[in-house]
Amino acid sequence: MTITMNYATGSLMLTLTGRLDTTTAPQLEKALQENWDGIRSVTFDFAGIEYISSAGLRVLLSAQKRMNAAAGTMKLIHVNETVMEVFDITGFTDILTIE
Amino acid sequence: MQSELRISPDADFAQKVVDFMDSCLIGSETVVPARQANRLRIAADEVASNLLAYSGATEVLCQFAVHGSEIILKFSDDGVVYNPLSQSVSDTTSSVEDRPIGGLGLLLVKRLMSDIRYERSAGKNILTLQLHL
Repeated sequence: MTITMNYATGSLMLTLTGRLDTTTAPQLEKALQENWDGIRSVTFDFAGIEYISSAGLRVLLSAQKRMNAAAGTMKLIHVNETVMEVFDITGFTDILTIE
Repeated sequence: MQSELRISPDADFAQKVVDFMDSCLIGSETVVPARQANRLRIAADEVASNLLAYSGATEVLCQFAVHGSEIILKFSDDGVVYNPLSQSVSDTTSSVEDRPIGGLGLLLVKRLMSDIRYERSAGKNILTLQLHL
């Protein structure tokens, strides 16, 4: 999976391409951990993501909890049908902001 | 058409299983639409992760077969008795703070596949996933 990051003051945009699964989730986790400081708004662009498995859900849940605790905002954009189906099945549509 | 992969689960196990799925899907004479193919990849990733984490298996046999419009994916492992179907499924209604992390993977497998069966036979766990095209 490739991760491209764009910054503005206090905000971070991550553009993901490939698959967010057991193999690639640690990569996203690490990218977030290394770039959290001072971030109040994070956006994940999922246009290039084919699918997500529970390993990816865990990283997103952790990110959402962190942003909630920091009174920040987090959203996902350009989510495809397969990813949306996973969010629906697992109830993550209630946890995440998906535009 | 049938393909199989026989390996000892290691840290890259999930990746190897998904790579195996990719080659089976690409090589399949029956065209598998992208949505269905991705459901299979997700299920394979979840099963592989669970096997690695909980079964203590030293060897896993993955078998992929297409019978008409049915795709059959079978995992046989020599680990401890472990039936993923009997594990409790994650609560999907609790708030973010209360949400338990575990169980989501199995929930996905159960909901994405058309059928899923477990049996214990000759010292092996055998999990069979079926997806109707």
